[in-house]
Amino acid sequence: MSRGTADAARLGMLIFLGSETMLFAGFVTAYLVFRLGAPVWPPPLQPRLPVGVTAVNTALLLLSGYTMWRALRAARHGDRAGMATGLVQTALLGAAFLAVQGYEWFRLLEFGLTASSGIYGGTFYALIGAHAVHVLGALTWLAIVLIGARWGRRTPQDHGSLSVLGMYWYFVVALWPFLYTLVYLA
Amino acid sequence: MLRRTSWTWSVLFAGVTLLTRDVQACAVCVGWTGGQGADRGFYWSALLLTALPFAVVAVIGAWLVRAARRPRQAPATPEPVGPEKR
Repeated sequence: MSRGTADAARLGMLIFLGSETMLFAGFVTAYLVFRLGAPVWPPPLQPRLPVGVTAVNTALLLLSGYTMWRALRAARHGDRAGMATGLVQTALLGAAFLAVQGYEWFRLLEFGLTASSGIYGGTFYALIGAHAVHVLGALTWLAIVLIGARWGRRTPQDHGSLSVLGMYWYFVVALWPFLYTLVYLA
Repeated sequence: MLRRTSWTWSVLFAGVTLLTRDVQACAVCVGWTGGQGADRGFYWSALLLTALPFAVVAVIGAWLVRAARRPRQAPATPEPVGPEKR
């Protein structure tokens, strides 16, 4: 990818991330209005969210941001093995994050917290679910890049396109601690 | 035919305008039912949603300025092979 093309791709991703920021801002503000308007939060007879497990999960996702940074740095320096290792580590950490999230949701559904059980479940699944869908999208993109790297179609010289993936990954990683603090801790 | 169509539309328009009842609808009136907490939620939400587009545009603008100021790299062309000039 030439520098001009890479810059155009980065600008396109930046604009896309701007629209994503507004999407999540809409979800967060809706959550704030419902939460601050409720006399008691969480509403009575609703299950409490698993704060401890999600804290560990947060650490996993933050670590995946670090491994992505290492993969991008290796790609910039022409280190193909380092790039592939960093990408595999990132994919594994992202998959682990999603698996733990899925398990958490399964347990919450067992305790009766569904999207239609009330405003608490509705806002929780909308906000956290939207983030999970974004992680899944990033993970799918990462898998495509990894398959390309495995078959030799993706080389460190393609770090321009990798950096666009990195921007998206950093976005989903950076967003999560904010959502975790807002929904689980505050 | 044209007169009948106009007549039908006139009756429909009159029905819609005269037979409907007033409905009070307001996007932020729900705050009243939630009390002061909901008012606070609306206040901070409106503030965030107003400020955020400016922040997004500022970030994109800063990135564009930075990209424009970055010096262009010379293309990595190999040295021409040939007899050395003395």
